[in-house]
Amino acid sequence: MKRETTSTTTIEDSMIPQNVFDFQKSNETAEPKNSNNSSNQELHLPTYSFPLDSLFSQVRLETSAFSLEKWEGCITEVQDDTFTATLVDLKANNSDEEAVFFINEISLEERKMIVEGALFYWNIGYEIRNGQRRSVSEIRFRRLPKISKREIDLGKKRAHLLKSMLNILE
Amino acid sequence: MSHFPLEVSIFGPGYGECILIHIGANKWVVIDSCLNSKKESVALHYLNEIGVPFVNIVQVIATHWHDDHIRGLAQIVQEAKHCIFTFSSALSCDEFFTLAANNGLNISTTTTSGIQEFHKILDIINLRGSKLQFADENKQIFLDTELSVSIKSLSPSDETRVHALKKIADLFPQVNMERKRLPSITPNIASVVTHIKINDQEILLGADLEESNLQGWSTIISSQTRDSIKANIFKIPHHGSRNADIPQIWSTLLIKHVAAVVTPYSKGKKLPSNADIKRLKENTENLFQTSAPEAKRITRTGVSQKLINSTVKSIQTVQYCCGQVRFRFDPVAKIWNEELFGNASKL
Repeated sequence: MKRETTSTTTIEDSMIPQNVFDFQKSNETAEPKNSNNSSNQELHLPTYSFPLDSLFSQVRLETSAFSLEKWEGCITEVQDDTFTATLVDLKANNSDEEAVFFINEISLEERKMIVEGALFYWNIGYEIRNGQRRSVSEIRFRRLPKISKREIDLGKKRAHLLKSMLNILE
Repeated sequence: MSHFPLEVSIFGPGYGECILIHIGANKWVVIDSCLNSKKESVALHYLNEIGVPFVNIVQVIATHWHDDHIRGLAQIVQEAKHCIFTFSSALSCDEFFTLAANNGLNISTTTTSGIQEFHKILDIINLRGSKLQFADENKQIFLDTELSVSIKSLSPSDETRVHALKKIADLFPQVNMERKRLPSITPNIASVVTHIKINDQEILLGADLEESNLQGWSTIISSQTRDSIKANIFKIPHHGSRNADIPQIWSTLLIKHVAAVVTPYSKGKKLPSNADIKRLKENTENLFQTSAPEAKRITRTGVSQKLINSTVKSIQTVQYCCGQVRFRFDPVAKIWNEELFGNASKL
Protein backbone atom coordinates (compact mmCIF):
# COMPACT_ATOMS: atom_id res chain seq x y z
CA MET A 1 0.00 0.00 0.00
CA LYS A 2 1.30 3.43 -0.79
CA ARG A 3 -0.92 6.31 0.10
CA GLU A 4 0.11 9.72 -1.15
CA THR A 5 -1.23 13.14 -0.39
CA THR A 6 0.20 16.40 -1.59
CA SER A 7 0.95 19.14 0.85
CA THR A 8 2.42 22.62 0.74
CA THR A 9 3.69 22.82 4.29
CA THR A 10 7.28 24.03 4.60
CA ILE A 11 9.73 21.46 5.88
CA GLU A 12 12.36 22.60 8.30
CA ASP A 13 15.69 20.80 8.40
CA SER A 14 15.30 20.14 12.09
CA MET A 15 12.21 18.06 11.32
CA ILE A 16 14.13 15.74 9.02
CA PRO A 17 15.17 12.52 10.70
CA GLN A 18 17.41 9.89 9.15
CA ASN A 19 16.63 8.78 5.65
CA VAL A 20 15.13 5.31 5.77
CA PHE A 21 13.29 5.07 2.49
CA ASP A 22 15.01 3.29 -0.33
CA PHE A 23 15.65 6.33 -2.43
CA GLN A 24 19.00 7.76 -3.38
CA LYS A 25 20.24 10.15 -0.73
CA SER A 26 20.05 13.78 -1.65
CA ASN A 27 23.21 15.62 -2.59
CA GLU A 28 22.70 18.91 -0.87
CA THR A 29 26.38 19.92 -1.05
CA ALA A 30 26.86 19.48 -4.80
CA GLU A 31 29.46 21.91 -5.97
CA PRO A 32 31.44 22.44 -9.17
CA LYS A 33 34.86 20.79 -9.53
CA ASN A 34 37.84 22.60 -7.99
CA SER A 35 35.63 24.30 -5.45
CA ASN A 36 38.21 23.44 -2.77
CA ASN A 37 40.80 25.60 -4.50
CA SER A 38 41.99 28.30 -2.16
CA SER A 39 41.78 31.08 -4.70
CA ASN A 40 38.39 31.45 -6.30
CA GLN A 41 39.54 34.47 -8.23
CA GLU A 42 41.77 32.31 -10.49
CA LEU A 43 39.10 29.74 -11.19
CA HIS A 44 37.06 29.46 -14.32
CA LEU A 45 33.74 28.55 -12.79
CA PRO A 46 31.23 26.89 -15.10
CA THR A 47 28.47 29.06 -16.40
CA TYR A 48 24.93 28.13 -15.52
CA SER A 49 21.89 29.14 -17.49
CA PHE A 50 19.89 29.52 -14.27
CA PRO A 51 20.73 30.62 -10.72
CA LEU A 52 22.66 28.19 -8.50
CA ASP A 53 20.04 28.32 -5.79
CA SER A 54 17.50 27.04 -8.20
CA LEU A 55 19.78 24.22 -9.35
CA PHE A 56 20.60 23.07 -5.82
CA SER A 57 16.99 23.31 -4.87
CA GLN A 58 16.03 20.96 -7.67
CA VAL A 59 18.77 18.46 -6.84
CA ARG A 60 17.51 18.28 -3.30
CA LEU A 61 13.82 18.24 -4.04
CA GLU A 62 14.00 15.62 -6.76
CA THR A 63 15.58 13.05 -4.47
CA SER A 64 14.46 13.80 -0.93
CA ALA A 65 12.50 11.28 1.01
CA PHE A 66 12.45 10.76 4.72
CA SER A 67 10.60 8.85 7.36
CA LEU A 68 8.65 10.21 10.28
CA GLU A 69 7.63 6.91 11.83
CA LYS A 70 8.50 3.30 11.14
CA TRP A 71 7.13 0.08 12.61
CA GLU A 72 7.58 -3.62 12.16
CA GLY A 73 4.18 -5.25 12.10
CA CYS A 74 3.08 -8.82 12.64
CA ILE A 75 -0.40 -9.94 11.64
CA THR A 76 -2.25 -11.49 14.55
CA GLU A 77 -5.69 -11.91 13.05
CA VAL A 78 -7.31 -11.68 9.60
CA GLN A 79 -10.96 -10.69 9.40
CA ASP A 80 -13.23 -10.35 6.31
CA ASP A 81 -12.11 -6.91 5.15
CA THR A 82 -9.52 -5.98 7.78
CA PHE A 83 -6.50 -7.44 9.49
CA THR A 84 -5.10 -6.78 12.94
CA ALA A 85 -1.39 -6.43 13.59
CA THR A 86 0.93 -5.82 16.49
CA LEU A 87 3.32 -2.95 15.78
CA VAL A 88 6.79 -2.50 17.23
CA ASP A 89 8.04 1.08 16.94
CA LEU A 90 11.45 1.02 15.25
CA LYS A 91 12.19 4.69 15.88
CA ALA A 92 11.27 5.13 19.53
CA ASN A 93 11.08 2.98 22.64
CA ASN A 94 7.29 3.22 22.75
CA SER A 95 4.92 0.53 23.99
CA ASP A 96 3.86 -1.92 21.32
CA GLU A 97 0.68 -0.95 19.52
CA GLU A 98 -2.11 -2.83 17.87
CA ALA A 99 -3.72 -1.52 14.70
CA VAL A 100 -6.52 -2.62 12.41
CA PHE A 101 -5.82 -2.11 8.67
CA PHE A 102 -8.22 -2.27 5.72
CA ILE A 103 -7.31 -5.11 3.35
CA ASN A 104 -8.44 -3.15 0.29
CA GLU A 105 -5.72 -0.57 1.02
CA ILE A 106 -3.10 -3.23 0.29
CA SER A 107 -2.04 -3.72 -3.32
CA LEU A 108 -3.50 -6.78 -5.08
CA GLU A 109 -0.04 -8.26 -5.43
CA GLU A 110 0.63 -8.06 -1.70
CA ARG A 111 -2.79 -9.22 -0.51
CA LYS A 112 -1.84 -12.89 -0.82
CA MET A 113 0.70 -12.24 1.93
CA ILE A 114 -1.97 -11.28 4.45
CA VAL A 115 -1.88 -14.33 6.71
CA GLU A 116 -1.53 -14.70 10.46
CA GLY A 117 2.13 -14.38 11.42
CA ALA A 118 3.18 -12.42 8.30
CA LEU A 119 5.65 -9.59 8.91
CA PHE A 120 5.68 -6.18 7.28
CA TYR A 121 7.17 -2.72 7.59
CA TRP A 122 4.93 0.32 7.84
CA ASN A 123 6.66 3.54 7.03
CA ILE A 124 5.18 7.02 7.02
CA GLY A 125 6.92 10.18 5.93
CA TYR A 126 7.48 12.50 2.98
CA GLU A 127 8.63 12.26 -0.57
CA ILE A 128 9.62 15.41 -2.43
CA ARG A 129 9.71 15.25 -6.19
CA ASN A 130 9.89 18.07 -8.67
CA GLY A 131 9.30 20.55 -5.91
CA GLN A 132 6.14 18.89 -4.68
CA ARG A 133 5.94 17.32 -1.28
CA ARG A 134 3.82 14.22 -0.81
CA SER A 135 2.91 12.55 2.41
CA VAL A 136 3.49 8.81 2.13
CA SER A 137 2.19 5.89 4.13
CA GLU A 138 3.61 2.64 2.84
CA ILE A 139 3.22 -0.97 3.90
CA ARG A 140 5.71 -3.46 2.53
CA PHE A 141 5.43 -7.13 3.39
CA ARG A 142 8.66 -8.86 4.14
CA ARG A 143 9.55 -11.49 1.58
CA LEU A 144 11.51 -13.97 3.60
CA PRO A 145 13.21 -17.04 2.14
CA LYS A 146 11.09 -20.19 2.33
CA ILE A 147 12.00 -22.81 4.89
CA SER A 148 14.42 -25.31 3.42
CA LYS A 149 14.87 -29.01 4.11
CA ARG A 150 18.49 -28.34 5.05
CA GLU A 151 17.36 -25.81 7.64
CA ILE A 152 14.88 -28.24 9.21
CA ASP A 153 17.43 -31.08 9.24
CA LEU A 154 19.99 -28.81 10.84
CA GLY A 155 17.38 -27.69 13.37
CA LYS A 156 16.66 -31.28 14.35
CA LYS A 157 20.36 -31.98 14.86
CA ARG A 158 20.72 -28.88 17.01
CA ALA A 159 17.68 -29.87 19.07
CA HIS A 160 19.11 -33.35 19.63
CA LEU A 161 22.44 -31.87 20.69
CA LEU A 162 20.76 -29.39 23.03
CA LYS A 163 18.63 -32.11 24.62
CA SER A 164 21.64 -34.33 25.15
CA MET A 165 23.59 -31.47 26.73
CA LEU A 166 20.65 -30.70 29.00
CA ASN A 167 20.41 -34.43 29.74
CA ILE A 168 16.75 -34.69 28.74
CA LEU A 169 16.89 -37.12 25.84
CA GLU A 170 13.84 -39.40 25.84
CA MET B 1 15.65 -14.47 59.09
CA SER B 2 14.20 -12.25 56.41
CA HIS B 3 12.44 -9.04 57.36
CA PHE B 4 10.03 -9.60 54.47
CA PRO B 5 6.67 -11.16 55.25
CA LEU B 6 5.23 -13.87 53.04
CA GLU B 7 4.11 -12.18 49.87
CA VAL B 8 2.26 -12.82 46.65
CA SER B 9 2.57 -10.04 44.08
CA ILE B 10 0.69 -10.24 40.80
CA PHE B 11 1.69 -7.80 38.07
CA GLY B 12 -0.08 -7.05 34.82
CA PRO B 13 0.44 -4.20 32.40
CA GLY B 14 -2.54 -5.13 30.23
CA TYR B 15 -0.42 -7.36 28.03
CA GLY B 16 1.32 -10.07 29.97
CA GLU B 17 1.58 -11.08 33.56
CA CYS B 18 4.16 -11.97 36.19
CA ILE B 19 3.85 -13.36 39.70
CA LEU B 20 6.38 -13.09 42.51
CA ILE B 21 6.08 -15.11 45.69
CA HIS B 22 8.16 -14.65 48.80
CA ILE B 23 8.14 -18.09 50.41
CA GLY B 24 10.14 -17.02 53.49
CA ALA B 25 13.82 -16.54 54.45
CA ASN B 26 14.18 -14.09 51.56
CA LYS B 27 13.64 -16.85 48.98
CA TRP B 28 11.56 -15.86 45.97
CA VAL B 29 9.73 -17.70 43.23
CA VAL B 30 8.98 -16.08 39.87
CA ILE B 31 6.19 -17.33 37.64
CA ASP B 32 6.13 -15.97 34.08
CA SER B 33 7.33 -12.54 33.06
CA CYS B 34 6.12 -9.31 31.55
CA LEU B 35 7.63 -5.95 30.72
CA ASN B 36 6.66 -2.50 31.86
CA SER B 37 6.12 0.43 29.48
CA LYS B 38 9.89 1.03 29.45
CA LYS B 39 10.30 -2.58 28.33
CA GLU B 40 12.04 -3.54 31.57
CA SER B 41 11.41 -6.79 33.42
CA VAL B 42 8.68 -6.02 35.94
CA ALA B 43 9.94 -8.73 38.32
CA LEU B 44 13.56 -7.57 38.37
CA HIS B 45 12.54 -3.94 38.65
CA TYR B 46 10.37 -4.70 41.68
CA LEU B 47 12.93 -6.90 43.45
CA ASN B 48 15.58 -4.26 42.89
CA GLU B 49 13.24 -1.61 44.28
CA ILE B 50 12.63 -3.50 47.52
CA GLY B 51 16.29 -4.51 47.88
CA VAL B 52 16.15 -8.23 47.11
CA PRO B 53 19.28 -9.64 45.44
CA PHE B 54 18.40 -11.57 42.28
CA VAL B 55 20.35 -14.61 43.48
CA ASN B 56 17.54 -15.07 46.04
CA ILE B 57 15.25 -16.26 43.24
CA VAL B 58 15.17 -20.01 43.81
CA GLN B 59 12.64 -21.05 41.21
CA VAL B 60 11.52 -19.67 37.83
CA ILE B 61 8.45 -21.22 36.24
CA ALA B 62 7.31 -20.68 32.65
CA THR B 63 3.65 -21.71 32.55
CA HIS B 64 3.65 -21.85 28.73
CA TRP B 65 5.45 -20.26 25.80
CA HIS B 66 3.04 -17.50 24.79
CA ASP B 67 4.61 -14.12 24.33
CA ASP B 68 2.45 -12.38 26.94
CA HIS B 69 3.73 -14.72 29.68
CA ILE B 70 7.35 -15.06 28.77
CA ARG B 71 8.70 -11.69 27.61
CA GLY B 72 11.82 -10.91 29.62
CA LEU B 73 11.98 -14.33 31.30
CA ALA B 74 15.45 -15.02 29.87
CA GLN B 75 16.77 -11.95 31.65
CA ILE B 76 15.31 -13.22 34.93
CA VAL B 77 16.88 -16.66 34.43
CA GLN B 78 20.18 -14.95 33.60
CA GLU B 79 20.10 -12.91 36.81
CA ALA B 80 18.76 -15.69 39.03
CA LYS B 81 22.01 -17.59 38.94
CA HIS B 82 20.96 -20.38 41.29
CA CYS B 83 17.38 -20.89 40.18
CA ILE B 84 15.77 -24.06 38.94
CA PHE B 85 13.91 -23.45 35.69
CA THR B 86 10.62 -25.30 35.31
CA PHE B 87 8.37 -25.54 32.26
CA SER B 88 5.56 -27.64 30.87
CA SER B 89 6.39 -31.22 29.94
CA ALA B 90 4.22 -30.63 26.86
CA LEU B 91 7.19 -28.65 25.54
CA SER B 92 9.64 -31.52 25.93
CA CYS B 93 8.92 -32.78 22.41
CA ASP B 94 11.52 -32.75 19.63
CA GLU B 95 9.42 -30.36 17.53
CA PHE B 96 9.42 -27.67 20.20
CA PHE B 97 13.13 -28.10 20.89
CA THR B 98 13.87 -27.93 17.16
CA LEU B 99 12.05 -24.61 17.02
CA ALA B 100 13.65 -23.33 20.21
CA ALA B 101 17.15 -24.47 19.24
CA ASN B 102 16.74 -22.56 15.99
CA ASN B 103 15.44 -19.36 17.52
CA GLY B 104 11.96 -19.74 16.04
CA LEU B 105 13.57 -19.94 12.57
CA ASN B 106 14.86 -16.40 12.87
CA ILE B 107 11.99 -14.48 11.38
CA SER B 108 12.56 -11.21 13.17
CA THR B 109 14.60 -9.65 15.91
CA THR B 110 11.98 -7.11 16.94
CA THR B 111 8.67 -8.92 16.60
CA THR B 112 9.77 -11.69 18.90
CA SER B 113 7.84 -14.76 19.92
CA GLY B 114 7.91 -16.91 23.02
CA ILE B 115 9.99 -19.42 21.08
CA GLN B 116 12.83 -16.91 20.79
CA GLU B 117 12.68 -16.24 24.53
CA PHE B 118 12.90 -19.99 25.15
CA HIS B 119 15.91 -20.14 22.86
CA LYS B 120 17.67 -17.60 25.08
CA ILE B 121 16.67 -19.40 28.29
CA LEU B 122 17.86 -22.81 27.10
CA ASP B 123 21.09 -21.21 25.95
CA ILE B 124 21.68 -19.69 29.41
CA ILE B 125 20.86 -22.94 31.20
CA ASN B 126 23.07 -24.96 28.90
CA LEU B 127 26.04 -22.61 29.29
CA ARG B 128 25.64 -22.36 33.03
CA GLY B 129 24.86 -26.02 33.63
CA SER B 130 21.79 -25.00 35.65
CA LYS B 131 18.97 -27.29 36.63
CA LEU B 132 15.93 -27.66 34.42
CA GLN B 133 12.79 -29.66 35.19
CA PHE B 134 9.45 -30.40 33.57
CA ALA B 135 6.11 -29.74 35.20
CA ASP B 136 3.52 -32.50 35.17
CA GLU B 137 0.28 -33.40 36.88
CA ASN B 138 0.72 -33.39 40.67
CA LYS B 139 4.49 -33.16 40.58
CA GLN B 140 6.54 -31.75 43.44
CA ILE B 141 8.68 -29.11 41.79
CA PHE B 142 10.01 -27.45 44.96
CA LEU B 143 10.21 -28.49 48.59
CA ASP B 144 11.73 -26.72 51.58
CA THR B 145 10.91 -28.62 54.76
CA GLU B 146 12.62 -26.04 56.96
CA LEU B 147 10.26 -23.34 55.71
CA SER B 148 7.33 -25.76 55.32
CA VAL B 149 7.02 -24.80 51.67
CA SER B 150 5.73 -27.15 49.03
CA ILE B 151 5.22 -26.22 45.39
CA LYS B 152 3.45 -28.62 43.07
CA SER B 153 2.48 -28.40 39.44
CA LEU B 154 -1.07 -29.62 38.83
CA SER B 155 -0.84 -29.82 35.05
CA PRO B 156 -0.38 -30.92 32.30
CA SER B 157 -1.77 -34.41 32.69
CA ASP B 158 -0.56 -37.28 30.48
CA GLU B 159 -3.69 -37.01 28.38
CA THR B 160 -3.52 -33.27 27.79
CA ARG B 161 0.19 -33.54 27.07
CA VAL B 162 -0.51 -35.95 24.21
CA HIS B 163 -3.03 -33.48 22.73
CA ALA B 164 -0.65 -30.57 23.15
CA LEU B 165 2.21 -32.49 21.53
CA LYS B 166 0.01 -33.10 18.50
CA LYS B 167 -0.85 -29.40 18.27
CA ILE B 168 2.82 -28.44 18.46
CA ALA B 169 3.62 -31.01 15.77
CA ASP B 170 0.93 -29.43 13.58
CA LEU B 171 2.62 -26.05 13.99
CA PHE B 172 6.00 -27.41 12.99
CA PRO B 173 7.12 -25.80 9.72
CA GLN B 174 7.26 -27.89 6.56
CA VAL B 175 9.79 -27.64 3.75
CA ASN B 176 9.04 -24.74 1.36
CA MET B 177 6.60 -23.16 3.79
CA GLU B 178 6.45 -19.37 3.92
CA ARG B 179 8.41 -18.11 6.91
CA LYS B 180 6.18 -16.42 9.46
CA ARG B 181 5.75 -15.94 13.15
CA LEU B 182 4.35 -19.11 14.73
CA PRO B 183 0.74 -18.85 15.85
CA SER B 184 -0.31 -19.65 19.40
CA ILE B 185 -1.73 -23.00 20.36
CA THR B 186 -5.39 -22.76 21.25
CA PRO B 187 -7.09 -23.78 23.40
CA ASN B 188 -4.32 -23.79 25.97
CA ILE B 189 -4.79 -27.05 27.83
CA ALA B 190 -1.14 -27.74 28.67
CA SER B 191 -0.35 -24.64 30.71
CA VAL B 192 1.26 -25.20 34.14
CA VAL B 193 -1.09 -24.57 37.08
CA THR B 194 0.87 -24.17 40.31
CA HIS B 195 -0.20 -24.93 43.87
CA ILE B 196 1.92 -23.40 46.62
CA LYS B 197 1.54 -24.35 50.27
CA ILE B 198 3.37 -22.37 52.94
CA ASN B 199 2.50 -23.74 56.38
CA ASP B 200 -1.30 -23.73 56.28
CA GLN B 201 -1.61 -21.01 53.63
CA GLU B 202 -2.37 -22.04 50.06
CA ILE B 203 -2.04 -20.21 46.78
CA LEU B 204 -3.41 -21.43 43.45
CA LEU B 205 -2.01 -19.86 40.29
CA GLY B 206 -4.15 -20.72 37.27
CA ALA B 207 -1.76 -19.68 34.45
CA ASP B 208 -3.63 -19.71 31.11
CA LEU B 209 -5.17 -23.14 31.52
CA GLU B 210 -8.41 -23.43 29.58
CA GLU B 211 -11.08 -26.08 29.43
CA SER B 212 -11.78 -28.09 26.28
CA ASN B 213 -13.62 -31.39 25.90
CA LEU B 214 -13.31 -32.12 29.61
CA GLN B 215 -9.56 -31.54 29.50
CA GLY B 216 -7.69 -28.80 31.30
CA TRP B 217 -9.40 -27.78 34.54
CA SER B 218 -11.67 -30.84 34.59
CA THR B 219 -8.57 -33.04 34.66
CA ILE B 220 -7.26 -31.22 37.73
CA ILE B 221 -10.64 -31.35 39.49
CA SER B 222 -11.12 -35.05 38.87
CA SER B 223 -7.52 -36.08 39.60
CA GLN B 224 -7.28 -39.05 41.97
CA THR B 225 -3.72 -38.27 43.00
CA ARG B 226 -4.15 -34.57 43.79
CA ASP B 227 -3.87 -33.32 47.39
CA SER B 228 -6.88 -31.62 48.89
CA ILE B 229 -6.65 -27.91 48.04
CA LYS B 230 -8.35 -24.89 49.60
CA ALA B 231 -6.49 -21.85 48.33
CA ASN B 232 -6.66 -18.44 50.03
CA ILE B 233 -5.29 -16.60 46.97
CA PHE B 234 -6.17 -17.40 43.37
CA LYS B 235 -4.69 -16.07 40.14
CA ILE B 236 -7.62 -16.41 37.76
CA PRO B 237 -6.67 -18.37 34.61
CA HIS B 238 -6.53 -16.99 31.08
CA HIS B 239 -7.41 -13.39 31.84
CA GLY B 240 -10.84 -14.29 33.21
CA SER B 241 -12.19 -15.80 29.99
CA ARG B 242 -15.31 -17.94 30.05
CA ASN B 243 -13.57 -20.99 28.58
CA ALA B 244 -11.07 -21.09 31.46
CA ASP B 245 -13.70 -21.13 34.15
CA ILE B 246 -15.71 -24.03 35.48
CA PRO B 247 -17.79 -23.86 38.69
CA GLN B 248 -15.88 -26.71 40.36
CA ILE B 249 -12.72 -24.57 40.54
CA TRP B 250 -14.50 -22.27 43.00
CA SER B 251 -16.34 -24.96 44.91
CA THR B 252 -13.51 -27.52 45.13
CA LEU B 253 -10.16 -25.74 45.10
CA LEU B 254 -10.76 -22.37 46.77
CA ILE B 255 -11.94 -21.10 50.14
CA LYS B 256 -15.13 -19.05 50.30
CA HIS B 257 -14.42 -15.35 49.68
CA VAL B 258 -11.07 -16.22 48.14
CA ALA B 259 -8.92 -13.25 47.10
CA ALA B 260 -8.90 -13.61 43.31
CA VAL B 261 -6.87 -11.60 40.82
CA VAL B 262 -7.46 -11.23 37.11
CA THR B 263 -4.79 -9.95 34.70
CA PRO B 264 -6.41 -8.25 31.68
CA TYR B 265 -5.44 -8.96 28.08
CA SER B 266 -5.61 -5.98 25.78
CA LYS B 267 -4.62 -7.48 22.42
CA GLY B 268 -7.19 -8.66 19.90
CA LYS B 269 -10.18 -9.89 21.86
CA LYS B 270 -10.07 -7.91 25.10
CA LEU B 271 -10.33 -9.88 28.33
CA PRO B 272 -12.03 -9.97 30.73
CA SER B 273 -15.29 -8.84 29.14
CA ASN B 274 -18.00 -7.18 31.24
CA ALA B 275 -19.82 -10.52 31.28
CA ASP B 276 -16.66 -12.22 32.53
CA ILE B 277 -16.30 -9.72 35.38
CA LYS B 278 -19.96 -10.18 36.32
CA ARG B 279 -19.53 -13.96 36.39
CA LEU B 280 -16.31 -13.79 38.42
CA LYS B 281 -17.89 -11.44 40.95
CA GLU B 282 -20.63 -13.96 41.55
CA ASN B 283 -17.94 -16.30 42.89
CA THR B 284 -16.10 -13.94 45.21
CA GLU B 285 -16.47 -10.47 46.64
CA ASN B 286 -12.68 -10.15 46.78
CA LEU B 287 -11.98 -9.72 43.09
CA PHE B 288 -9.05 -7.58 41.88
CA GLN B 289 -7.58 -6.64 38.53
CA THR B 290 -3.98 -5.63 37.87
CA SER B 291 -4.84 -2.94 35.32
CA ALA B 292 -7.91 -1.15 34.05
CA PRO B 293 -8.82 -1.83 30.45
CA GLU B 294 -8.81 1.55 28.79
CA ALA B 295 -7.69 2.23 25.24
CA LYS B 296 -4.55 4.38 25.14
CA ARG B 297 -2.90 6.03 22.19
CA ILE B 298 0.62 7.32 21.87
CA THR B 299 0.73 11.07 21.26
CA ARG B 300 2.54 11.92 18.05
CA THR B 301 3.12 15.09 16.07
CA GLY B 302 0.23 16.40 14.01
CA VAL B 303 1.65 15.27 10.68
CA SER B 304 2.42 11.74 11.84
CA GLN B 305 -0.95 11.40 13.53
CA LYS B 306 -2.75 12.59 10.40
CA LEU B 307 -0.96 9.97 8.29
CA ILE B 308 -1.63 7.23 10.83
CA ASN B 309 -5.32 8.11 10.96
CA SER B 310 -5.55 8.07 7.17
CA THR B 311 -4.08 4.55 7.02
CA VAL B 312 -5.61 2.51 9.83
CA LYS B 313 -9.10 1.80 11.03
CA SER B 314 -7.94 1.95 14.64
CA ILE B 315 -4.74 1.97 16.66
CA GLN B 316 -3.95 1.76 20.38
CA THR B 317 -1.22 0.61 22.70
CA VAL B 318 -1.35 -2.99 23.86
CA GLN B 319 -0.28 -2.07 27.38
CA TYR B 320 -1.93 -0.07 30.07
CA CYS B 321 -0.08 1.37 32.99
CA CYS B 322 1.40 -1.61 34.85
CA GLY B 323 -0.44 -2.46 38.03
CA GLN B 324 0.37 -4.67 40.99
CA VAL B 325 -1.87 -6.47 43.44
CA ARG B 326 0.23 -7.34 46.49
CA PHE B 327 -0.79 -9.64 49.32
CA ARG B 328 1.34 -9.72 52.45
CA PHE B 329 0.68 -12.17 55.23
CA ASP B 330 0.18 -10.98 58.78
CA PRO B 331 1.34 -13.96 60.91
CA VAL B 332 -0.30 -12.60 64.08
CA ALA B 333 -3.75 -11.92 62.68
CA LYS B 334 -3.25 -14.82 60.20
CA ILE B 335 -4.68 -12.82 57.35
CA TRP B 336 -3.46 -11.66 53.95
CA ASN B 337 -3.54 -7.88 53.55
CA GLU B 338 -3.91 -6.58 50.04
CA GLU B 339 -2.33 -3.43 48.61
CA LEU B 340 -2.95 -2.02 45.15
CA PHE B 341 -0.36 -0.16 43.08
CA GLY B 342 -0.37 1.57 39.70
CA ASN B 343 -3.45 0.81 37.71
CA ALA B 344 -4.65 -2.08 39.90
CA SER B 345 -8.15 -1.92 41.36
CA LYS B 346 -10.78 -3.87 43.26
CA LEU B 347 -13.74 -4.87 41.09
